[in-house]
Amino acid sequence: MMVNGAEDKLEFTDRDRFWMNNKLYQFLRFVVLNLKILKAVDHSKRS
Amino acid sequence: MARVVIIGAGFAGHTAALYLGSILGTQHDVTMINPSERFLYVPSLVWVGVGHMKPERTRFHLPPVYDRMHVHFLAGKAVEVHPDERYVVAEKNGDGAEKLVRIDYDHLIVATGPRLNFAATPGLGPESGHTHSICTQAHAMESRDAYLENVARMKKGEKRRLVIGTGHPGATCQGAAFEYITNIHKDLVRQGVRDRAELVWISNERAPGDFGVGGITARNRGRMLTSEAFISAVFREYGISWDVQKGVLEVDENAIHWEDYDGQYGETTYDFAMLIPQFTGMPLKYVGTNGNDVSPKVVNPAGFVTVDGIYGRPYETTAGDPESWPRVYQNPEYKSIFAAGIAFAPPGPISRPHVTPNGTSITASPPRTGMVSGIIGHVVAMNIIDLVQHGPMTHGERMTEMAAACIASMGDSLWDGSAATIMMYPVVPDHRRYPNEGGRDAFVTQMEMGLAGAWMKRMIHTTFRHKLQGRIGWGLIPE
Repeated sequence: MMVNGAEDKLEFTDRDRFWMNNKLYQFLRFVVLNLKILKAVDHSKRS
Repeated sequence: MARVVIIGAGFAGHTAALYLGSILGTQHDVTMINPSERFLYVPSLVWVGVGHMKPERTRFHLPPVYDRMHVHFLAGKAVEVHPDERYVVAEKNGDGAEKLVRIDYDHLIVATGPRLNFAATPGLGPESGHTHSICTQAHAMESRDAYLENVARMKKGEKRRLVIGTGHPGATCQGAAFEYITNIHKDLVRQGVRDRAELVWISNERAPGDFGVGGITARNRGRMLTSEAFISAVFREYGISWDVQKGVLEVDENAIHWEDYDGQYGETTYDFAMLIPQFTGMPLKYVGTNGNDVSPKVVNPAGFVTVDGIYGRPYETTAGDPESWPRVYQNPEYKSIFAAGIAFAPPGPISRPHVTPNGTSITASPPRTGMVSGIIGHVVAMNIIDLVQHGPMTHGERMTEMAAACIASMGDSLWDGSAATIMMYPVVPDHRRYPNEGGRDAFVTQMEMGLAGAWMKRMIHTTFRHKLQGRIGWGLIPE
């Protein structure tokens, strides 16, 4: 069900579990997450 | 020569000391007062608490770092601040004759962190109560020992109920408790006794995933998802039952007694419980020229230092005005005093408050994570450097402008562990800038779960220890 445009119920599937622990995919996510955090820090106003 | 004094070597105070020492330390006087000679990397106490990390890996010795960064270090406890005459009275550690020392300042940073107010909930806490804590190293070690005793009993066939969450209607730090319960789950699976453990989450949150920030709505693999849905799914995945909207009032040796949003009273029995206490400000005395108590000019009734926020307004007004939140963390009465990290008084809760029909406020207090505390310490340090070097302050960052990444460990194994990585921008919703339900940037704000998060959490443990020890390149690592 969508509440204010967002899903308010989630169930993890076998597919989700596979990708959450797939080493190669998670390595790519590791790189991407680091870049996103650095970008978010840069995005954040700090005068 | 300017004199800068910092009280407290946690994330906020120690970050400030690194910047102040490296920029001002050779020409001015920068002094750190801290009861311990060690920095404690608090986020990793979760792993100490399940026996997955040795306590010594969570701390490092401060004096050599301060020597390198041109900061004087006083091992002791600040007991009084005299803001009119600008000096601090500290009680030195040890048994020497001259225990009390006076340290004069031109600029003071109060970065004491919280007082763990177990006494606000009768029966709470490891010292004179029945529950455990992971808020200090000693507590985390005791919690570990009690948890492992329960594991031993489960291995003999007993069933045990472990209850984790918040231990006061106004508690914060739900994130740390979440990490603890999920790490316990993973450890119980590893130990082969998960089927003999009932794991229960109890908290003062309005919904799972609130974490004291009102929850978040974020992108997750191309769809918008609430943190309530996400965390509830995690709890279901891990077989954790949850009970939110509960303000814990008292604990006895068998049960946790609470009041819920509807004003109903109830209890949850337990065999092992780790509940986060209420946080208040550290009990520093603020003394005027005539020896009078000037605390009302410096701190709020909970003991947190009032700064350049707007206080005393209803929730809706504060939530609707991002400028309610402080920008430079300077006390308006005594401009020589700054407060950083958990020591500053937030203008109000981020999560929507709730008062029960009995008049009890069950409201998650705003969290200040290591990242946020470090950023504030950095801002305060840079402003003091401005004041010392050329006059006006040029730095500022409200929590309504601040990005934060929270990585909640859900199993520390680098092979099959997991963590929830949550990025939110800003930390405190700004509904003027982001007129969506969440008040946050929907492009930057996101959450996901997986092994990558476990790697990140471990990497952060290592890189932050590198940064906080002032090692090469420390200034390049963001807070």
